[in-house]
Amino acid sequence: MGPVLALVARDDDGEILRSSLAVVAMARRLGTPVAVLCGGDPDLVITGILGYYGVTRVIIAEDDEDSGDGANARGGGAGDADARGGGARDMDVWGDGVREARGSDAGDADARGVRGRDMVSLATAALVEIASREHPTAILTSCGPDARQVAARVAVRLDSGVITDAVDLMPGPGGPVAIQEAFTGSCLVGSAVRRGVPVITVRADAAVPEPAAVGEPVVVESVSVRRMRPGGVRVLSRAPKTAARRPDLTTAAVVVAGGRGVGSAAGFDLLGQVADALGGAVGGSRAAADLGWCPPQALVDQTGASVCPRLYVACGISGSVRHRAGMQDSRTIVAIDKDPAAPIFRIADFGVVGDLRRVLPALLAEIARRRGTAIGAAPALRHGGAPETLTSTRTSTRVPDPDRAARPQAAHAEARDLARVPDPDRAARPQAAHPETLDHAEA
Amino acid sequence: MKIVVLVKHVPDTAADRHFAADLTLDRAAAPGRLNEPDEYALDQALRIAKLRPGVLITALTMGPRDAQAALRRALALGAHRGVHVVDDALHGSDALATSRVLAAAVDRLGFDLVLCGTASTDAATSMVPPMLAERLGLPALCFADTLRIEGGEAIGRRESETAVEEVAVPLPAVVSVTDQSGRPRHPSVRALAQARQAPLRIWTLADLGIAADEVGLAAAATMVRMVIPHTRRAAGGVIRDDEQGGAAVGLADFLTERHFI
Repeated sequence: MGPVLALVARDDDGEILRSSLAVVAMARRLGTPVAVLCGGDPDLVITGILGYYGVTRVIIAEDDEDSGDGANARGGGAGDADARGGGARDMDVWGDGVREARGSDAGDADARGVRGRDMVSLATAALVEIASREHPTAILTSCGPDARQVAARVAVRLDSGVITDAVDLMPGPGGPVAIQEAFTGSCLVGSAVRRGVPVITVRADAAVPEPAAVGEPVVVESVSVRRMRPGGVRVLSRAPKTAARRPDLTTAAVVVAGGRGVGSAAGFDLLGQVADALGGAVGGSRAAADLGWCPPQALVDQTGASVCPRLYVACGISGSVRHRAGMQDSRTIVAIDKDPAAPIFRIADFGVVGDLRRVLPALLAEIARRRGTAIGAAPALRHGGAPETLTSTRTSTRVPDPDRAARPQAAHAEARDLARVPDPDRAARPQAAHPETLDHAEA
Repeated sequence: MKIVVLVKHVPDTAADRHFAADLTLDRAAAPGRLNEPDEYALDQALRIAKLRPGVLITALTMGPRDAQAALRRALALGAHRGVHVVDDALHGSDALATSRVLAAAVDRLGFDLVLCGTASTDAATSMVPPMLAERLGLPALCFADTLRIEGGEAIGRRESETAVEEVAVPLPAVVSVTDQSGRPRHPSVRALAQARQAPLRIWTLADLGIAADEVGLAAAATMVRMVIPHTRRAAGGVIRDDEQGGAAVGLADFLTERHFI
């Protein structure tokens, strides 16, 4: 099977985004995933994690020496690229000293780091450059705002067909076939690219990252690329979204959503506890968002977020057409509502007619009982405790779980073991950072 | 300052939409309207025009005859002129071809800023703004939640997967704005009436120097292979709570069975 380029992004802490792991998982459906990262240190933890999910090669793209953000070189593509490339490399080359020295060349050390750079132009140049050498089966990115722009620009440069928001991919006789939803999910469309290298953006919530280590060491290469037009976007200020403690709504495997029936903003706290117990995100209907019970970003609706998690728990939501358009493709739907005639029950796999203010606390207690924990100690249930506590409850409460891949943090811990990295820095870092940063937000 | 606002006439999302025999969207079957996200782009253009003199706002659309309705709506909302790129050969054009045609059109119009909505509600790919920027060799500020023009730059706040950033791009540039950026406006009856009479500029592919075989369904780089009607899920079991939360046990059983607990 041919290589499939998977654009992998990291957050400010260097952790791989969950959406990127979904891209890798989708890439495996078409061929051998080759992860393309933009800048940053190719440390063993990152390669270990990527290897755990089936990546055999990692290509790190860096700016060509003299085509940084400030330069105005209009590159001829390959040129002297690959001067540093090829084969596995000595990690020391990327040591901090070297990095800073080069950084001062460019005028600003941080400009050489992952943060605050115009990643779109770097990723675009990298994918175009790598695609021209590797002739991949496809180029895959997430559906994040930056990744989408990369996909669009790469498609123009390669004059290649682009398919967005794929929920599934499969090899076809004439190249990959991508499945998309159309007309707010009322039908599925299978499309193929008939010119160039297929560029496909994939929905993070449609793929669960599955462990698929091939057992061979991951090959790390680097490529230096020349951006076509560097210096376009200047970042004036930046606030990392590391504060999010729940997975992002659009990429979460579990969504607990509330509507008018929740009754109050305080009622949403209860939903939050259920979401935490199930490792999910909180969403809201149009009514709940309009009433200010949940933030507008939490809106699940035809015009808000469209989600297809593995589990959708609708609480006090009648299920208007517009709301269903945003969630009806969820793998499993559970509905809790007082009104037995609510349309949501017609699409629910399991329904409870009753008062959610009674059912949900009872459910929390039942979950805690089955996990053998006290109610207050359910995983991440009461947030704000020390990170160690969070980690230990997660580990201790993890029941044998055939679907373990849905819990990236657990899988990551193993990936870390797999990589056996002597990295005191990372070991010392609070583990709790992982579930949050991994499931991290897509706008 | 010249602003071009890209607008699109789309089938109303509330109506039933279908695929035509050639697997393109059947645009004649559903009533159309101005793509809602584009109204935010228009709103931003009008805000910029309010703050500085000499702003010329051009609404530009590409599409069949009906698409004029979107231009007229844009004119009623305050755009100064409307340009319609219409050609039979355009039917079935993909994002690559669309961006090519629009790039030629905005190039011919001249511009300091191209403003777009984040996506169309029919295709919803969000591909055209960055593709257009790529073809014009320009930076893009996509998915901006705020926008202001200052010192020859477009400055806006955008949310990426990892951070909320304020970024600046030098003009000329392509900017797409989200529904967080402002509010759609409602035209007055008088403005609507006037817009109905307003002359529009009509351009064909020949006017833009684009060959018919570069665009349209035959030149599309993607092809719909199949359309599968979504199988409607059947309703599952419903249990009634006993007023004490006893249904939670049944619910927990269900969640355990599906490995969520």
